[in-house]
Amino acid sequence: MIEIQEASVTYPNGVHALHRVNLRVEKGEFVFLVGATGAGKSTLLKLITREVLPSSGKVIVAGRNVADIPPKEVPYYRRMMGVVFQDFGLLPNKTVWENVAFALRVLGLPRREIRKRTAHAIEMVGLLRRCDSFPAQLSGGEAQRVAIARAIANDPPLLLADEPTGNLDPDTSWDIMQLLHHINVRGTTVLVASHDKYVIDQMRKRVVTLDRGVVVSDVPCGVYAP
Amino acid sequence: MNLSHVEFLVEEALVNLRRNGLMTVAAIGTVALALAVFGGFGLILWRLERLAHSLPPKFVIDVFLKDNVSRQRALQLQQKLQQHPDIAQVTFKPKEQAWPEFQKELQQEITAALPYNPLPDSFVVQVKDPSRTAAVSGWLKSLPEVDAVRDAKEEVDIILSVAAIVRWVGIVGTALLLIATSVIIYNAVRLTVFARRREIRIMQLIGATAGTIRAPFVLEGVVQGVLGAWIACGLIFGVSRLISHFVMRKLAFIDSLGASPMPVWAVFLALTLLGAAIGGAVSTLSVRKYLQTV
Repeated sequence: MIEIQEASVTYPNGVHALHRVNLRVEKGEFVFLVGATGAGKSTLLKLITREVLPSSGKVIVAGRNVADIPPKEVPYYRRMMGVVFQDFGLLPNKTVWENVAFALRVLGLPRREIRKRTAHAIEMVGLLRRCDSFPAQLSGGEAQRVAIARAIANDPPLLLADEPTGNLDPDTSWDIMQLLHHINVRGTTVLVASHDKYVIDQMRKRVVTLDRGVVVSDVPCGVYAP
Repeated sequence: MNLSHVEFLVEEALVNLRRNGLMTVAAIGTVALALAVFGGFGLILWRLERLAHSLPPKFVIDVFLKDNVSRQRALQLQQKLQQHPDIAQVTFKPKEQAWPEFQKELQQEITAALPYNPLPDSFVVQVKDPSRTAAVSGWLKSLPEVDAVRDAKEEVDIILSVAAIVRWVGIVGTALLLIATSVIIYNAVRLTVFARRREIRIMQLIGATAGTIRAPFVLEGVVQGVLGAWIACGLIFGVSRLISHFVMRKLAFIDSLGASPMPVWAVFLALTLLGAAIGGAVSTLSVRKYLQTV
């Protein structure tokens, strides 16, 4: 699904975010990317979303070298992945329903299909009763559930989450991780950048540890130990 | 792009306008004020130019004939003058007619003392193009029947150069004001886009194409531009009504100087189009920065 080969990223301001990173993620895997702030977790996810191009090395997603994707095709490339942020990334002027439906509407799907998939995604995260609420009226956990519903509404093969529990209390964090796990079980490849030790230790998933832009460990049923 | 997608983009724009209420009001207000100043300035210049152009035809050349020219010769001469390509109209003013007018202008006592009518026969010549006044009066002077010519050459020159200045000041001023207006509106719109830059990133990550992200912003810009233009029209019409109401009462003669009625529909249409164009253009520009991908 994802193959990163010797990828380095140097930002224009001279910061070396990643250094010769190698990572291979198979279809259907659940992977935690852990590491301290600034270790390069977000940059690694941005390589996959093609918000950042590698200064050297290769990033291959679903068989395509992302550097070869022309800018015009990037939107279509991104439709194969759902993205979840630490700060939820909901559109503040849209209700829960509209936020989820939006991701489908930009794809130009027919109305009936949008309604069906939106309802399904919101139901899956258990928020059907909050459909008409605006993001500001939601709790952190609810907002993150909406963000996840939006990310999976299109049923993408890949789900990327950048510190999805960073703003949540431990119980809520656990719920969100369970939700991601549930999505993974259905066949979606899930990549989660996190430093939520408690959750990571409980989940017993593959853990890839980054330190100052370098992969320092990659353990199949790992714990948080940067 | 199918119909439901167009519908989606339009709906997006309208919902955003409503829910970003304060930003929308700020942008529309800026557009309204900027366009009101621009339109008001344009209207004043237009008025001035119309005024300047309506003045010259009122300037005429008085041609006084020699005393020994018979009435018949004079009428023949009138025919001749009328055939001159630069002359619009020739009116014969016999001395019998000029005299009472002159008496009325001066005080009766002075003229009453005169034993006879000292005024010559004359023509009142109207020139087609005011700038040809000098040439025409030169030609008139050279005619043997003509004793003297009185033209308003200096006045005509002044009026013409004023008209030229007004026109140039107008063109330069309008251009500068248009730039200033665009920059002000650009800044207002850029702020609204800046406030929503995260929205743009989210849309990009969802997989929205640049066109899909841009279209609602541009539509919003057009709607804001048009609404602002309409408010500007209201302001301009209201203020100019007040002013003309006041001026007409105090200076009734302005009316007689050829102030034409305001071209309401032209102003309305021009400002609406301008508002839409500027709104759409600056929105496109503002969003562009955030749409760049690596």
